[in-house]
Amino acid sequence: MSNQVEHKQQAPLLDLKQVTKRVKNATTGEEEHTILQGLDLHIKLGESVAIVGASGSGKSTLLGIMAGLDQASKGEVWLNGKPMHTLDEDERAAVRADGVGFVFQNFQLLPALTAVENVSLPLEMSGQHSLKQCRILATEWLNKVGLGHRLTHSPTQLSGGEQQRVAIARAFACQPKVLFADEPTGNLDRNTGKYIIDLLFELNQQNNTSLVLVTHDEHLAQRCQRTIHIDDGKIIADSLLAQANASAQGANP
Amino acid sequence: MSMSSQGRLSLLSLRLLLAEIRAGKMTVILLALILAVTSATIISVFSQRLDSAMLNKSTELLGADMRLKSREAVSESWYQQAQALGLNTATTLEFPSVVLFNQEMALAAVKAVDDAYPLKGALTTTTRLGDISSSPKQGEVWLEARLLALLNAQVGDVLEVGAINLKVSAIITHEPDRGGNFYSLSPRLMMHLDDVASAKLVQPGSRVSWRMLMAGESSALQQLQQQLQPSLLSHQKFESLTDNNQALANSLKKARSYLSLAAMLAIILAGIAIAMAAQDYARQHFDSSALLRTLGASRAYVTGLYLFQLVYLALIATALGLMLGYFGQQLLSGILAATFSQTLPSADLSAWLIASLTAPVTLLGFALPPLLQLGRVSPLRVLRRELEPMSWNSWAIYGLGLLMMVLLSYWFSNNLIMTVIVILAGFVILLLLLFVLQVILYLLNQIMPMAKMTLSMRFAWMQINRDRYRTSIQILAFGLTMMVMLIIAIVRNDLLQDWQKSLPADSANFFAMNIQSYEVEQYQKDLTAAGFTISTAYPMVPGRLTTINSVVVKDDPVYAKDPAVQRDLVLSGGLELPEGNTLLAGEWFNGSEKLSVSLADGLAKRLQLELGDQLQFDVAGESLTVTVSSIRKVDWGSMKPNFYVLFSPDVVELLPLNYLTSFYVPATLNSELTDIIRQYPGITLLDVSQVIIQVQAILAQVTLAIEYLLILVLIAGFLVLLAALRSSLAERLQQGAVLRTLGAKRQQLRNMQWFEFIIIGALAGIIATAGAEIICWLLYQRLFDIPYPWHLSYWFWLPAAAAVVIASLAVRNLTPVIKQAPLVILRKL
Repeated sequence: MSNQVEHKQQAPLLDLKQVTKRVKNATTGEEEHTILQGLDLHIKLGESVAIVGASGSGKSTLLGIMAGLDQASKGEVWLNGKPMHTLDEDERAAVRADGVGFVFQNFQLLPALTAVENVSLPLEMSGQHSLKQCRILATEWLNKVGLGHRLTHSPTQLSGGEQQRVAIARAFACQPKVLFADEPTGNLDRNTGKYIIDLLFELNQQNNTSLVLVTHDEHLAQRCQRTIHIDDGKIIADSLLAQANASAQGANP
Repeated sequence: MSMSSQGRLSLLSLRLLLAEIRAGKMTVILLALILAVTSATIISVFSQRLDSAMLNKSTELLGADMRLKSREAVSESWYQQAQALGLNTATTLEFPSVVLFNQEMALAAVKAVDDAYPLKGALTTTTRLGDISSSPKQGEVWLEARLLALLNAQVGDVLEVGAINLKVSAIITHEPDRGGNFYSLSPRLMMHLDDVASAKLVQPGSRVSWRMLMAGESSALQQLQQQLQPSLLSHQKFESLTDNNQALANSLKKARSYLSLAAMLAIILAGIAIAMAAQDYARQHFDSSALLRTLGASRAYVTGLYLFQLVYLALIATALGLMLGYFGQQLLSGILAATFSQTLPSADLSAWLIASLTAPVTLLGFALPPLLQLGRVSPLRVLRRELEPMSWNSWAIYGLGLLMMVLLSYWFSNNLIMTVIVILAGFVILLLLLFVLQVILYLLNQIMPMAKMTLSMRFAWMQINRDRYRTSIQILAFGLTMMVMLIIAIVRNDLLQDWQKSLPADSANFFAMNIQSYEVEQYQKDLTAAGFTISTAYPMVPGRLTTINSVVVKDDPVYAKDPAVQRDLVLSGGLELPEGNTLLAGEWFNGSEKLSVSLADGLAKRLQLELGDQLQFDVAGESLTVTVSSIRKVDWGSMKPNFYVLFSPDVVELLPLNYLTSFYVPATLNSELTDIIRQYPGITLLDVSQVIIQVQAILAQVTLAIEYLLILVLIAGFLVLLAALRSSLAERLQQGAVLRTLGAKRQQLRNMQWFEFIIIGALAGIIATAGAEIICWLLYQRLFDIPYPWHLSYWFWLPAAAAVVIASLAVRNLTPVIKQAPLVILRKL
């Protein structure tokens, strides 16, 4: 672990300072290609944030770096008070285990496991509960997402919307402080998508979880408290800053 | 990690594994593992049982596991030592004696035995009087039919044997340890050892052979041999099968090598199957691994999770494989036992141990590297599916697999030369071929007339060329499997041919000696007239080697120890180089040389003799000095008259010679033989027909077993080929679905598969042929001692056959790519 003093003063849940990500050219392996350029971003506990942008704008890369799935080339990433930029893969995994939930576009359920086993898996891995407790908690969460009647179905027997609900139950079962969602409705039809989003926001409020959502759907983005627009690796608009500017201007004309 | 968290991890791992098995995700790897363990079990256990059956069969030829030959009665304390080690013992005493019945008398080869005789095998008799016993009781004699004929006697008659009368109570039809040495030329008379003293047949100084027979655990036998060796007198000697029957010993040695080879090849097949299954398994779990990492699992945790799965897989596969293997080898042994009305001895623990270690060890060697890769999957893969884990250094993977292979094979075969040839040489050859293959693919790609090819052909070729390394690995998997199948088939063919050549059905089964020169011609005419196949008559005379380059051999510490110096040698000579002999040094006689001699290479080597050395022989009281003019290689395995020493024709004319010949008597013409025996009473006959029948029976049994092993290895190889095809199915399904969505017709996909696999099959066929030829050549040189017949024709038809077989199998197995609706496949992905 690092000997750096941990961020304590009214700690933002997520704090990005001058984050830059460069990747090597896949074919030549030499020329560097910049995906993110010196990003600064602060997200508070309980806040819901949408990150929007065109394909290739760098929004998924940003999500990966925020969640500690990937490392920035430069800059600092503080998640839940932990300096992710100084931690190695396993230490970052421990941070994830401790307070981070995920929902993906392609659901990412383990195909061999049933619904209840999929939800129970991260609980079992944490080792804080007995197997029986894990299964009870998993069942409770599946009930909450309306899948109490599908506990022992395998992912292939579930529709897309149902699979995503299992994924949401899995994400919330660990009581995360922050939930990262990557195009959670991308593989779903409009109505199912709406239902999933309602569920996501409802659980988010109930559990006072921060939500970081990557999407290119403007309607979905508008439901978040804050929208961040990314283009060519840079933040080109942040609704919070715009509001602050507006209120600053309103207060001081 | 603490114990309890380890325990939790192992349980979670088990639950995940069971869920995957239930969901059908583990079927292929489990089947591959079970196949590996099953074939390893069948082959290791079966070949061990066969090996001990062969050993048993061959110890029957000694009547014991080990024999000690002596000119005097063996000390009682030696028997006590043997019994203390838990060995069974028996005693035999052999000497020639004249027996009388009415006016008839005949010279018999008397063998006096105790109640325990024989320790191995059984005497078979006909027309037996009284109780059943394993050997003659006191007061009785058992005779060979030939002796009864000579005496004009019948079962129940009483013969004069020395000072006592003994009643004929059975006719011996088969004496397991009759053997064929030159002292047992006369027909057999068997009596009880306790009658010998009262018959007053053996006087001090009589020329007799005592034998102490021993049977039991091989460790105890070895221990006893070590204990007794230092106190052996010069006329006492332990006897083994090799001394008595070179032909059989050679054949058995080769057969055992073949069994080891089959077992080793089975392990290699198992290794290929497991390596492929493990790669597949790892590939399937990249996504799960990434997800677990996303959920906060550490590398060690994920690695541990999959390691536990590996352990469970090994346990399940071992248990099921051992069970199936048990039934498999039981079935084979049953068939073999039924054919030869003899049950196979059971295998000892070591064979089962080796079989049960197959799965863990091959998994460790071949599945560990790809599984460790699972721990290195980046969690980012959940967002970007194309991310693959950093691959291990391929040398590390091959190195570990190779090491495990060498260890297992060596343990399996207990044969270092074979292990080195098959595994290490095989590996080097394959690496070279892999390199050559990539070059060939590159060159083919340069000259392939892409513009003129159909869409299917073009796409198939692109498929092959997209990842040359991967294609090469696939070709190698097919090639390696076919190579293994080819090696086992080639070796089988040549071994069987070699045996047939050394022991043809009409091998001479009688040797006639002491034929006087004046009667040779007539004797041969009579034999031919009786319908027997005869060989050339060789002149012979007994004689003793007395000096070497004027050194008296009796006084020389090195020479005096050689058995060839301690006894009379059968000397011969003439203008003709005997059949089966080849000249190694010097020149063969042309009739002009004076006082020359040709020596067998074994004798020349032992006595360190070279061309030009002067030897002195004592023949019939005359001293004779000759010069070594040539050295011959003699095939002692052939059932033909063979001589250490051959004189030049001028020496032959000086000697008081008689003649030796051999001939084949079919069982149907036995009465004709009796007539000839009566006609020429002075000629001694050596009957080796029993030995030949025994040897042929053993070889027939081994041949059959080898056929089974061949079939077994071929089946295992075939299954591995299928597994190799299935391993690429998922990827092909996706590609096929995409192509069909884009409008490709089913027939186009079919054509693509045909074209792709005909090329892959043909290249694999070439590799298999090249590898098999080189490895077989090495094996023949170093192990089987058979000249290697290169198989040029294989180079043409094998690649063609491989192309057809692989392509047909592939097209059949990849039918789902064509049959299933693209939507179904795309949804599953």
